[in-house]
Amino acid sequence: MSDIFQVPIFLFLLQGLRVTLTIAGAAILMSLVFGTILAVLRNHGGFWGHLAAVYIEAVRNAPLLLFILAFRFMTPLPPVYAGIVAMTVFETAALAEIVRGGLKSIHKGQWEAGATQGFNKIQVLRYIVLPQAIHNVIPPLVSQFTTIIKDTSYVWAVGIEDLTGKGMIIMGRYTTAAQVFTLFGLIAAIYFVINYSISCYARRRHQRMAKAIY
Amino acid sequence: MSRVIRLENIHKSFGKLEVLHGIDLEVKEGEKVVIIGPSGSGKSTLIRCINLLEKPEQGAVYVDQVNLLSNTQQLSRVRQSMGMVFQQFNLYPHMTVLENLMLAPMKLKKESGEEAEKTALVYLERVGLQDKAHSYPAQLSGGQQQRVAIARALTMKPKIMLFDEPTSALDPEMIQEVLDVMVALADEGITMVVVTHEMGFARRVADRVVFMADGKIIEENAPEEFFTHPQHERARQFLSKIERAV
Repeated sequence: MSDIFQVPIFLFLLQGLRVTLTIAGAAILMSLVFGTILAVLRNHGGFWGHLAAVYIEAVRNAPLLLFILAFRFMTPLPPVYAGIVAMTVFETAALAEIVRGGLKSIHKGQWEAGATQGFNKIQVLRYIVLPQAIHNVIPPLVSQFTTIIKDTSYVWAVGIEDLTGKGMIIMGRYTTAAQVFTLFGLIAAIYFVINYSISCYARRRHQRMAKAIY
Repeated sequence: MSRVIRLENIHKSFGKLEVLHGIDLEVKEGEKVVIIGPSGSGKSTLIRCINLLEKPEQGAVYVDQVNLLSNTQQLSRVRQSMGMVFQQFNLYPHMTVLENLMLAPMKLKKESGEEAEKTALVYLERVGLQDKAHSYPAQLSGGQQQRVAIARALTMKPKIMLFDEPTSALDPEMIQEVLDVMVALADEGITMVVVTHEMGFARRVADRVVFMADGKIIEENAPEEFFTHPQHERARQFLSKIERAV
């Protein structure tokens, strides 16, 4: 067992963790932006709304791995970038549906109050509706963020050395079931610590905000 | 005095149900018009047509000589000069009282934060809530929220104020504090259109009472005339029911 808890192995895994967090972080940021745009369009309806709905439904009902493979092998992008783009394309659909739920939770009176003050639709969204909508869906959003971090491990399938990928490389050196089990346990623990910290932090912030507002 | 609001032959339907059957209404500058009538008579729909929260299918809405239905690019500007107070307050719950009051002046009139805060505090003081500047709406009573909503509308220095049943969602003991603010406002000469069930307010403040029933204006008159000598049977019925309730 002690042959796994060594500094070089930790450092090796940390390199992978950096790749995992880079891909997940970039994908989360971009898919939150694009997802919000799609949510607004779909909520608004019309031609663009229908187009957004088609995108969301098409992407949500296909497997993530397929997107990662496609962007890795059908585009000239470097591997990590291909991973980021694939995850963004996929997660945009998931986040769009969550944000749309938030938009639906906002009472029509908020739109009307903004409109009567002289704000146009974009301004009402930006200053009045979206901040409340996002706040209302922070728990499912954060839950999806942690899913994104975990699902980043799929990029190992196209040879990107993320946390899981590095683990698989190390595994080549070990032979006994106990060693492999320990290694997987360690990797799982790293994912757990990161995701659990994010969840706890988000929950505390959300509760503090909610106490002030509602 | 010039007419600041002119509605011509307004027809409005929700689905197959026509709720306004050709309404004509004019409001002069500084005039206080109180619209009363039974539930479902179209009062709220009518006042919401003035700033196009409801878009009539037919007719014309003029505010400050601008035909709002054909000049949609002017709608935002006209709405800035016309405050509205809702039955459900509709304060922005994610902002403090002060932020609620500062948002429109800062974003629409490009006032500096300092300027907007100064104006906001002046209006908060006028509705007697300067000590609540840093509270969130949910921490206030209904009456306080509605007074904040009135102050929020006033920070844009509107020429016209529209009130859509401002006291209907309030507990009885909070109605008076809101009416007091509205009476004080009326005394300042601002143009007001008020949909309400508060007959005392109508008598005290209105220059003209407009009685609606079944999507039509049945009778318009000075309050004393209307309340003591209603001309139409429908108005007499309505008033007798209210008196019985009291």
